[in-house]
Amino acid sequence: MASQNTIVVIDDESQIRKILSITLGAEGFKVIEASKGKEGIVAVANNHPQLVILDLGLPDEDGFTVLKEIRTWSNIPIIILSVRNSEDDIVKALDLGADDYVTKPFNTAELIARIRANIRRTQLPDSQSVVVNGDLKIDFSKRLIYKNDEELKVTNTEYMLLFLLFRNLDKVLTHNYLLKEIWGPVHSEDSQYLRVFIGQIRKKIEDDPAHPKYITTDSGVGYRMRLINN
Amino acid sequence: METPVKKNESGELNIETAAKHFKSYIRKIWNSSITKYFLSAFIISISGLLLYLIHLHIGYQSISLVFLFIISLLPLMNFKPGPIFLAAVMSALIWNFFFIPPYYTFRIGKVEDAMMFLMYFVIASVSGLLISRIRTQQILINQKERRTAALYNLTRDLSSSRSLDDVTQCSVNHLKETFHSEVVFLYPETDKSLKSSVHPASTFKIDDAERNVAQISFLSSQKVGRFTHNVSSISPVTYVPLTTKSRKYGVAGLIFPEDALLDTEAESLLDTFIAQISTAIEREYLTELAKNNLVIAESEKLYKTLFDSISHELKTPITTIIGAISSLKDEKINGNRNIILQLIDEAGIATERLKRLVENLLDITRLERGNLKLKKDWHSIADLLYSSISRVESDSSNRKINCNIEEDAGLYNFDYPLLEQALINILHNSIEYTGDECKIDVTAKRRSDSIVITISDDGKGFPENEIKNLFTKFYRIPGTKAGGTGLGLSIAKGFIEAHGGTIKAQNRPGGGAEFIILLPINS
Repeated sequence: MASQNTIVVIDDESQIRKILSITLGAEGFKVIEASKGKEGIVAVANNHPQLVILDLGLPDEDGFTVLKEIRTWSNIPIIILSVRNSEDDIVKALDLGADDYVTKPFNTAELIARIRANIRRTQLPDSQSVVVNGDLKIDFSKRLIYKNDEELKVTNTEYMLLFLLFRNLDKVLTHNYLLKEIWGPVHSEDSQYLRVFIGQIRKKIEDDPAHPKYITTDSGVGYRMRLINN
Repeated sequence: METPVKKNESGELNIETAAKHFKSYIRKIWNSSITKYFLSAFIISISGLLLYLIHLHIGYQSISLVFLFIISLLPLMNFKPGPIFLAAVMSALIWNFFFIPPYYTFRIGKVEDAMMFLMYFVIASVSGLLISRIRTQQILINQKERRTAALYNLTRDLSSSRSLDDVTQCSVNHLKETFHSEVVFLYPETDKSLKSSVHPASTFKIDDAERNVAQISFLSSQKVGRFTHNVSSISPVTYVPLTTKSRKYGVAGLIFPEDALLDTEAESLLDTFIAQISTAIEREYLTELAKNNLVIAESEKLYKTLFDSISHELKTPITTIIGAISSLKDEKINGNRNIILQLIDEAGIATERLKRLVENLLDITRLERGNLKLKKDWHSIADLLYSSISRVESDSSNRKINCNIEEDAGLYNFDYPLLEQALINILHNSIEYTGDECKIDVTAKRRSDSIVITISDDGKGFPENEIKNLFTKFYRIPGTKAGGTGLGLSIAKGFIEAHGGTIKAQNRPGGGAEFIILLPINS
C-alpha cells in the first residue's frame, strides 16, 4: 500500500529538489529526493510513494527509461517535469504512461493542484457508474450524458470521447491516445478528426464554446476534462 | 620556335639546354632512315676493305661467314629491314667481285662457288630480316612493359595520395615522366567555367586564349588541341577533360615534345592515365564532400549542446525563483516564518547562480572579441587571494579553504577584478566537483621572475585523458553532475593569459587535482 503523502522527486538539479521539498513539505507531503534515474527507481520501489515527480533530462539515463522501468511494475501517478517547448517529449512521456506534466519554470500552486488531482484520481473507484462534474453528468451504464439534468443528444463517437474524458477527469489525454482508442491505430496521425469532434462536443456542453471550461486544450499535447468544483 | 641554345637572364650560355638539344639532334639523325642506308653501305665497305687485307690468310669461304656475322649485328643497332637488305646485297656482290676467284669479275668459276654465293645471299637476307623482326618485337614488348610499369606506378602513387593537391602533384609528375611533356591542370570554378589560374603543381602557365581552348574541352568533355580534330591548328597544347560517369572535374593540358607522334598505343595509354587520374580526383572530391558534411553535422551538434546547456542553466535558477515566489503567496506557507526564510534563501542562491552565469557569458564575450583592456594597478597578492576565497566561501558556506601565502608574496601590477574573477572561477570549480569532506588548499610563492599560485584539493582528481580539454570553452567532462556551462575555467585561462601568465592543471601524485598559475613579474 502506498505510504500516505510521500512523493519521490527525481531531478538532477539540487536546487529544484530543494525548492520542491520546501514547498511540498509545507503542504504536508514527505519528499524523498533522488538525483539520478537508478536512484529514483530504487526510491520508488522502496518507499511506495503516492506520486512521482520525474525530470526528463537526467544525467545517467533519460527520464523515458525511468518512466518505462517504473511502468513495468507500478501504475503509481507520475508527473513529468519538463522544459517548455518540448511538446514532442511530453507527448512521448504521456504515451509511455506518464499521468501528467508540468513545464519549467512552474508555478508552485499549479504544481500542487496537479499533484492533488492525480492523487485523488487514483483514489476514485474505477467502477463508478455515474460521474458528476460541474453541470455535467455522465451515466456510463445507460450511455447517457446530461447537462443541468437535461439529456444531451450526442453521436456515438462524441459519446466515446466524452466517456474517455470523464473516465480520466483532470488528466491530459494525448491526441495519439484518443485517436487510437476511438478510430484504431491506423488513424493515430489524423488529429484533424479530433479537432472536429471536440468542436462539436464543446458546442453541446460548454456555456461559451469559444472559452471552454470543461474540455481544455493543451496545445500540441492533447485535451483535458477539467474537474469543476461544485 | 625557341632557339636550341637559349640565353638565360644572366647572359651566360645555358649549357644544359644546349647539350640537351644537341643530343636530340643526334638522335634524330641516327633515327632517320636515309642515314641508316648510308651507314649500312659504309659498314659493309669498310669490312670489305679490312677483309681484303687478310683474305689470303683465311681463305675466301670464311669471308662469307664474317659478312654474315656483321649483317646479323645490324638489327641490334636499330637497323630497319631496308638497310639490312641493302647490306646483304652489297656484301654478296663485294664477296663475289673481290674474293671469289676469278677475282675482279662477277663471274664465278666453280659450280660449288656459285651455289655458295646463292646460299650466302639467301641466308644473309633472311637471317638479317628475321633478326630485325625479333628486335622490333622486343622493342615493342619493352615499350609495352614500360607503359604497364608507368601505369602501375601511377595507380600506386595515386592511391596513396591523400588530398586533391597530392593527386594533382602526383599526376603531373607521372604524365611528365611518361609522355616527356609539360603538364597543366585546371579545376573548375563553377559547374560551367574553369578557374582563371592553373593548379600550382602545373609545369607551365597558360594565357587567356589558351584558357578558352581548355574551357571548350571542359564544356564538351572532349579532347581539344594538338593531335585532335578540334581547334588543333590554334593550340600547341592537347587538352584532355577529366571526367567520370557522374561529373566533370576539370581539364589536363599537355605539351608533347615537338617531334612526338601520338600513335594509337600512346593515345590509349594517355586515356588510361587520364581515366585513373579522374577517378582519383573523384575519390578526393567525395572524401572532401563527406568531410564537409561531417563538419556541418558536428557544428550543428555543438550548437545544440550549447543551446541546451545554456537554456538549462538559465531555466533552473529561474524555476527556483518563480517556485519560491509563487509559494510565498500560498496561505499554508506564508504563515510559517521558517519556511519563508528557507524559500528566500533558495531564491537568493538561484539569483547568485543566475548572476554568475550572466557574468560568465559577458566575460567570454569580452575575451572572444579580443578587446580586453587591462586596468592595471599595484595590489597585494595576499589581498587578491583572501578576497577571492572569502567570496567563494560566502557562496558555499559549508566549505573551508586553507590558505598559505608566503610573507613576501608582495605587490604585483595587475587588473584586480579580472584576476579575482579568474581565481573565483577556479575555486568555484574545485568546490563544485569535490565532495564536502575534501580539503582545498591555496598557496602563493614568489620566485625570482614569477609568482606561483596553486589551488589544490584532495578529491578524485581529473580523468587523465580529459586534462587537455579542461580549459576548452563550453567543454564539460562527460558524466559530471548537472549545472555549469563549461565556461568558468576557459575564462580563468583567458584572464590569466591576458596578464602574460599561464595556467595548467594536473593530478597530484598523492591524489586530487591541482591548478598551477604562473604570473610573470616584469619589474
